[in-house]
Amino acid sequence: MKAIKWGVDLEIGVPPIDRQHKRIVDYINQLLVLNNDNNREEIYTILQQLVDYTISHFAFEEELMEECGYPFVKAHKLVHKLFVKKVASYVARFEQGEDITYELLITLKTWLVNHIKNDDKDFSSLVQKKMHIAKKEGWFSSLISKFLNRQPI
Amino acid sequence: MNKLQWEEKFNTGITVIDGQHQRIVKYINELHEATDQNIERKQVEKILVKLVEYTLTHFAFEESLLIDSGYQYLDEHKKSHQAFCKKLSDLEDKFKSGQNVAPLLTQLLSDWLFEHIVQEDHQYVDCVRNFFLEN
Repeated sequence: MKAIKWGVDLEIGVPPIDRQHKRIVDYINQLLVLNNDNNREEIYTILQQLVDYTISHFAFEEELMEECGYPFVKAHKLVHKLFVKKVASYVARFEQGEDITYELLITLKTWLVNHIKNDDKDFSSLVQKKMHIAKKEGWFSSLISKFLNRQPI
Repeated sequence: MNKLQWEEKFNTGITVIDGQHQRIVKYINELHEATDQNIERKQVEKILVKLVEYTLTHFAFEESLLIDSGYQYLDEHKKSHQAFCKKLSDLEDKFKSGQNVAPLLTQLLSDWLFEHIVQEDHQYVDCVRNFFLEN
């Protein structure tokens, strides 16, 4: 299975979100390498890091959408929730000793790329507009500081 | 079966929904191509997994918009989604038992998906737009 190549096509034009997405892509690519070596112990470690990081990223993104008044925030949050549930069920199967990594990697790759390119891009122009308007007021940087403790670095 | 082309008339005008619909069509095209060309089963299975998962996610997203906007035909719309899910799971079963899924795919598309988008999805557009986008 090919690695995900990070590029402008995966950027939504909101720098903190793009950085977070890139980090998730890095985790997935790490898992792809580990899956070739069939190293279960390391796969499990990275998988847990990926899950933790993704949950923090979702929280950050959802807060941002709410702050900007994105109309479909509730539906978007539901999609995040279903994804977290789906991945958790894979992790549980992995813990039971099943070999699910290949299937999980297909899901992760497809889900993330689709989600960024369609659903996340849908709120980006609204966030950019808000960033532009509020630049003078320091709205965006105050939002960042507000969530600094929670923002996945 | 010919490749499915997205047409202007399929657009609901709600960008995020149109993008999701187009991705479902893309996967169905991929699946059809793969089964047509006798591509190895693992590849076909991969596309099938993508199609099923993406469709389920899209339905959840769409239903959430319908619930929030108080769409009066929500129950009917959900039933329609359930029927499509049933077709997808039949398709998966047939594939797993080694059958040719191409005829069922044609049916999924021509008889159901575009019909659903043009008829049923277009019916909720005003309700969703009024609630979310027109204030």
